Amino acid sequence: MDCLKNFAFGALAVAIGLLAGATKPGFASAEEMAFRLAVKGGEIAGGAPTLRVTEGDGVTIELVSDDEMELHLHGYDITVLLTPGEATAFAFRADIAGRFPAEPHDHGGNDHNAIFYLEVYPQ
Amino acid sequence: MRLLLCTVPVVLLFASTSMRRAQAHAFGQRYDLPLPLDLYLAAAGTAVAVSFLIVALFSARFGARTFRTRLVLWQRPDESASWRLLGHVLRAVGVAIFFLIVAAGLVGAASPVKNIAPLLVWVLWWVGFLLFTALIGNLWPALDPWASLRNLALPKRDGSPLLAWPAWLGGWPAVLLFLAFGWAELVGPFGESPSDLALLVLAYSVFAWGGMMLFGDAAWRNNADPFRRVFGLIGASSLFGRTKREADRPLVLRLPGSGLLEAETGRISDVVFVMAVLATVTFDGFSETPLWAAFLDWIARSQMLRPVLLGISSAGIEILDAIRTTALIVAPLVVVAIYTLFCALTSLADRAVTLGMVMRAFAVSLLPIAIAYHLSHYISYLLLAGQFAIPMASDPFGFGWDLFGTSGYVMDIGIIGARQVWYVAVAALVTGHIISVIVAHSIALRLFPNARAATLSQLPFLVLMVGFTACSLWILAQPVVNEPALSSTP
Repeated sequence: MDCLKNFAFGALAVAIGLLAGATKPGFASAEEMAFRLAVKGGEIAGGAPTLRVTEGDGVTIELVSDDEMELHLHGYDITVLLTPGEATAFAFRADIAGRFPAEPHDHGGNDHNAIFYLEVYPQ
Repeated sequence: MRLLLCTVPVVLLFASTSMRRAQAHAFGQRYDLPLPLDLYLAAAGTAVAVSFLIVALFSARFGARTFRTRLVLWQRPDESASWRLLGHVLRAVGVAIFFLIVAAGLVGAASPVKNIAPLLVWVLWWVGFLLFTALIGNLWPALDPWASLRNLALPKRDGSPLLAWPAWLGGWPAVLLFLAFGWAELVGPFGESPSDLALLVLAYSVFAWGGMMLFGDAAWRNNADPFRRVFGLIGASSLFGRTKREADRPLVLRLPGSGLLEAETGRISDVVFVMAVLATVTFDGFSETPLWAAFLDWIARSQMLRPVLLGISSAGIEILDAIRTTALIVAPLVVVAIYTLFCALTSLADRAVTLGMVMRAFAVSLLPIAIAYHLSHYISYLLLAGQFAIPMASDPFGFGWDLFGTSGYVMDIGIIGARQVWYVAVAALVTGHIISVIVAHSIALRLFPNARAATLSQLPFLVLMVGFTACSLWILAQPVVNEPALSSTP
């Protein structure tokens, strides 16, 4: 009988633990995600790619452009200046979920076009 | 629903510990993630299953009567001084906001993120107030600044307008003005330029007041005013409303959507108006999908269309604007064609019921799905862009004022979690679909002579409604893409 009681308590403890774990997204393992993108003529070959990460991940994006360009990642509000032929990297923690376009700024009438999209999925 | 309630505190907890305050950049940018496939399929499956369940179980005695249940809150509001006072307050608010929009647009800053006019019109009124109207109740007749200012400037002259409304015009001016408004929203420069927006408002005001003076207020309101019409239709589905079933028009609390059974689409132009609303709401979302981007790309590459595109751009017209304008004209026609086809099938259920009768009777039944889609599409945008109201209330003209000490407010783009947006979207669309099916079935029981014909008549409509809901879900499951810049030069 005792054995059954212990089992019940054990199961309860596991259930509470699982519940606690499930309700605290901060405990889920965050990964480090790195992307390397080459920009040619104001575009990435093959069309604007979508970079997918999970909320909480550390994100590093390295860009090389053949042209000078000011790139703006919406939502996270990060602006980087790309100089021709030089690798520029920026890093941030993806702590807001959503789909964010990265667009060049002050580039004639072209600033409607996204160069890539960042999708941050909830945990 | 329980899942939704459970996740709210968790998100609040999480948001408070790791909140990142970031500035949303462009006014009008949406950051929504596409709806995941499993949620998309679950919602579509639920919609189909519930549709057939309703058709199988719904009967005149049980369903239709229960759906019409209402609670009278105020039997004769018009006789009450406090009701009239509320009307005066709303009229004053409507007129004040009207002048604020015009003044800010004309003298305020040129940037839409510094000037309150575009925010008031496109976010707070056209998204926020429209959703309030759909869910809670229609305050527009009282707020309507054009009617209020007209009544302030000129004493009421009932009965003797200068001209009688031409019978052949019917309600078509309202349809055309609504499409023009849709064009201003989705194609025109009025979201980006506050001064253009103010001039548009002034131009419409002169036009509307001219129409009221020529044809009389009632004729204008019933045949040409697109806003009275759209808020009247959308507001018919809300929880609170003035019922038309009794002469006193008591204020009632009713089941969502049941007021649509009292909404009138007695003319074909009224039916087309509803279809124009459905088409513009849907096109808004469709024009952000990869499919639309691919279509634009195909047009840009097409050898056959090249001379046309060159002609358009040499005339000084943006090609993208020309395509979107064409789409805004074609979309309502496509919706009307599809609706007519399904109405023709529906009318086969009984010989005594004609196509025209079916078209006039069922148009409003599609509105709940469109409202649900509007809510799903805009909920996060409203919560994000709506935050601009906090700094702008202190500095409406962008002059650097700080009237209420809130001008330094930084937007919180984490205000609603991505998962919450998904749940709200799916819950709204499934609910909207169920309401639409119930409304259509109630109408069928009223229109067809017997229950068997009514049930039979609903089979084509179920297909139409499942299709409309599935299309809405499909758009939400697409990643938002910006339209490619089009140029005619290779």
